[in-house]
Amino acid sequence: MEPLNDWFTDSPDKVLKKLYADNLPWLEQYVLQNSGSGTDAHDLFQETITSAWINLHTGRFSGSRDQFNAYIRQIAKHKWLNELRSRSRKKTTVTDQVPDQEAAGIFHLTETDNTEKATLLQESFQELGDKCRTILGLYYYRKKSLNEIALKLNNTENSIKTIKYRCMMQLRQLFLEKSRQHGGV
Amino acid sequence: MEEYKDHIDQELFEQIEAYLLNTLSQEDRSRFEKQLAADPSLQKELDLQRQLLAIATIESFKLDQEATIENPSAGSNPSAIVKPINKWWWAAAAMLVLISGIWYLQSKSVSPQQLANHYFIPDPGLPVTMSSTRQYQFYDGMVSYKEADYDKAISIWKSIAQNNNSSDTVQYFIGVAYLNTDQYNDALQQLLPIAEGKGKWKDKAAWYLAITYLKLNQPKKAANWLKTIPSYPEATELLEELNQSNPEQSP
Repeated sequence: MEPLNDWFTDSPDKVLKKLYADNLPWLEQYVLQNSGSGTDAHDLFQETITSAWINLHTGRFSGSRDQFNAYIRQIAKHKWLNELRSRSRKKTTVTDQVPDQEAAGIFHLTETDNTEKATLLQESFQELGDKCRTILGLYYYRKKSLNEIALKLNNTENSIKTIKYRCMMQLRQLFLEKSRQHGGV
Repeated sequence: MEEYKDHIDQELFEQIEAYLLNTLSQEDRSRFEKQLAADPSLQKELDLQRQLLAIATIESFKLDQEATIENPSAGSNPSAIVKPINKWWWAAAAMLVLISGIWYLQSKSVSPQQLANHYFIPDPGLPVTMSSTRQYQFYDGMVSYKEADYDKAISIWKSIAQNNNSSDTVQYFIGVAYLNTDQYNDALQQLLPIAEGKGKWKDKAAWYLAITYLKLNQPKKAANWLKTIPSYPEATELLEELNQSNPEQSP
């Protein structure tokens, strides 16, 4: 597995905003044409990008940005078909026929499905304090330097570095505990 | 199956982090890769850290989408415990920003006032500490401020300001309270001396001054203040937006 160098010459906020712009319009159209609403499309995008992003980081997806867009769309279709199936089982008002076939595509999604893990990771992050979330966001997402963060938060570089380490350890701890409760990591 | 380590010390964490963010020198990287090849538990830890990094960035992205959550005032008191009222406040503010954001994205030409509404999150105020009797009046005002009773907060703080040489802190909060009640010219009077000074509220005053000028449809003046606070990501963003949407507009 390679470090994520090719992907992150840009900061993650730029990469993610691009992925959003590239895929959300397509996804909205797809969901609206298949018995869903705008809110469904938004939720589906969030869920899809989370799954895809984790697999990108862990090397379970590897490829170019174009391939990644295709990957995102295939995951979205797959998730949406599952959602429609579960809605029709619950006998809600899905009028359209749910397509029978699996979402066709070049990626083997069942092997890399990480829905449950993604949920646990998400919950873990959401349980962090505001300060941790701010620092991790500035450092990893916006790629601000320790110096910039220290200035912004009126602190020293060294303490920001230590706080960042503690926050990541807290995130790690939360996730490992949740994973154990759910029977294995 | 390997178990995860109980404890990762800071040095090891930073090594893994540097490897993932690709900031190791060629030499250190080869050394780390040799270590990896020989140590399955390190490989497992690396995979875990990749997932943590992924969730930290993707969740930050979602927060970023929902609102400009990083408020420019987070710097004032980083060690302060966020009181429940603050959380409530931020949730409400975030919703407002979200709603105005959607509206703002849909509108084609963006006015300075719209930009101001999009970026404006009121200063949440300071945590109220009950121990300090000396500053009782100030915190009394802060309680009103946090209840969004800005007029009462202003009158309490004004009475302190008249009694003695008022501190920058009092002046600053009177200023943001005026801004919160749309009394822009009064806000300017309070905030200008703070932003021009050298005190700890200088940068935040500059940010809210910029917002105030936008509300008053004076984008050039807003831009000048934004340029003084390059360490605020929002300031840089807003400046870019201003350049894009109002290239030739003058106050």
